[in-house]
Amino acid sequence: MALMTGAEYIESIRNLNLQIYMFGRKIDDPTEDPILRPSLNSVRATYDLALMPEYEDLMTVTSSVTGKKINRFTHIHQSTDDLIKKVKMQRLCGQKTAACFQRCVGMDAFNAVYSTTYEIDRKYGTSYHENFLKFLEYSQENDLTVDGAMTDPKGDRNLAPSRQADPDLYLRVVERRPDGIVVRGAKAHQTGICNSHEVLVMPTIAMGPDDKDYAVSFTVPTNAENLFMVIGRQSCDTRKTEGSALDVGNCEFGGVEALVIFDNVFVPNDRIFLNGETEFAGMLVERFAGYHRQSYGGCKVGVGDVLIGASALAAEYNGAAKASHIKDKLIEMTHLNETLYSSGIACSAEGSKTESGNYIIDLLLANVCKQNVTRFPYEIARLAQDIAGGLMVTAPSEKDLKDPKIGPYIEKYLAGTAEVSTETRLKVLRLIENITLGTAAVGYLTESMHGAGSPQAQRIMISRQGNIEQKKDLAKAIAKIDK
Amino acid sequence: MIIGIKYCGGCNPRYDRTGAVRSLASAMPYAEFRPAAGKEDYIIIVCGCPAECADHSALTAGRGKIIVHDKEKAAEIKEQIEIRERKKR
Ligand SMILES: Cc1cc2nc3c(=O)[nH]c(=O)nc-3n(C[C@H](O)[C@H](O)[C@H](O)COP(=O)(O)OP(=O)(O)OC[C@H]3O[C@@H](n4cnc5c(N)ncnc54)[C@H](O)[C@@H]3O)c2cc1C
Repeated sequence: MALMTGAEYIESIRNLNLQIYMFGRKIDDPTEDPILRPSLNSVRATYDLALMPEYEDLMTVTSSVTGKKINRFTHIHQSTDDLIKKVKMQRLCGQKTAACFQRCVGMDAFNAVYSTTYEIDRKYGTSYHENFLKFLEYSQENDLTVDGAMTDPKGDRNLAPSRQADPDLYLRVVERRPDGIVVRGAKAHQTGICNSHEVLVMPTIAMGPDDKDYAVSFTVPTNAENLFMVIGRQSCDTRKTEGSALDVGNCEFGGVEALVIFDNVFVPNDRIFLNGETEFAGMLVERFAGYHRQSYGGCKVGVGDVLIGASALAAEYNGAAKASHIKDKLIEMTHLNETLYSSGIACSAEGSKTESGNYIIDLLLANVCKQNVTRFPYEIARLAQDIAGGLMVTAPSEKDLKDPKIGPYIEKYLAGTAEVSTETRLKVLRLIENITLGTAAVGYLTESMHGAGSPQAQRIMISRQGNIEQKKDLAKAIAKIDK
Repeated sequence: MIIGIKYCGGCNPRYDRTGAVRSLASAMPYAEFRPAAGKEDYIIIVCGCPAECADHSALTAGRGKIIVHDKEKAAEIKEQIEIRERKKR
């Protein structure tokens, strides 16, 4: 079963019987919960699109491991062309869901762990790469969705993992046994964990010799014993329980994050990819972050495409579409969005081969890409709200619109151009609300800011990779300065 | 005549790719259209933009491949096939 259908995927998640808590209670069937279901639908889209002839060229690829056709989300990049197609696929998925489709963290973790384990094994004679290859083949053969879990709660940001007041604030090994390890800790902000079959854990930061127990990477199934998750609240989340397709803006798709707790979870030896080799924690973090910073040059662009389209419709529906400043704002939004895409494509085209044979993005350009992502979606959202007008936040509910007494007044007074119904106008305004300050703003804005690292993390990488010395030499040569 | 269709992945198509293929199929009712497998008389590579990134390296067609990346070119496919067929005769 190298490719699952969307329906098979949903059943496979239902069968996991995950331990998920929300609003102080355990959720019986997360796949049918109205708050969680839209996020499951977004991941489902990555399965459905892969089976459609008009999208399969991006969504599927031949496995470098088995030679079979697999979903690109489980692929190890074999060329710069693969890196480019990854970004294009993410743009497509963003366009089709207008939300975070969650499956890229796992793909980015796969590619980072693949090359890092190869290099650890070369130095220490360990068998982490072989362990990972086995897991990779299993994931490809079963078309799994895997959560990439990097971010620890981190407690006091000024202290190393081993110096925290509570030693569990970074996930760590608490017991080493002949058959494996026992880990305790948590991972915060985990995108799509409740829609994933497996979780691939990595360290959050570079580590020193004192942090041996914290330098750990492994996978366990998301239904492993003693593993549970607590869903993060999103702005306007309970609107999804009210049964109104209009009021939620995007009734089919969404994103989700959760706090995942590992309360003494056993990891067998053949699922371990790093265990105490502290000097490789930094390499793993840097590579995962690099791939993930590239990812945002695709997914956020796809959501941006929808937001630009929604803004253009809002202008058409209120009769302002021909105004020169509206046209100019749409041009500016497109310019910003395509600039994000440009750096996503550029860091892919400039990618290179790692020692293990897979391809990695150009790290400088990937960090530039993500730094732009921390800014441009906010400006695109600002322009969308400008074009939308105040009604996107003051419109009455669908119930009022459908009320026999109040409804006709809403129809009459919130009308735009005569050709378009008030309901149609409200639909597009609710979509803009959803993306710029409703549930989807979690993915489109705050994730753009912090996902794959806060802005300062990219600036550190840019300063490291920026090659200032060479630039000084260039200036000296032109200015005829000898030393 | 059997015509295989191979689409690019469609990340940012500049026209309606599936719509263009539907129009072509209705203009050529005598031909059988199917997803390209590499054994068709003609294979049409339907790309959404000039990057033409669809990977068709593994596909070979009996009488030829035609690559299009815009609406105008897509509208000329039938004519192109007819020209090629006439030349053969
Ligand atoms: C929507 C969303 C989805 C996400 N999905 C995932 C996921 O799937 N997997 C995953 O692993 N992670 C995920 N993340 C986590 C993301 O990588 C982190 O949010 C990011 O690394 C920042 O960490 P933090 O949120 O703890 O912020 P904080 O560490 O609290 O940062 C807040 C501020 O403090 C600054 N700061 C922090 N530490 C220091 C320091 N030592 N010195 C100076 N300044 C400091 C930061 O630069 C920032 O300005 C997601 C985040 C979001 C918002």
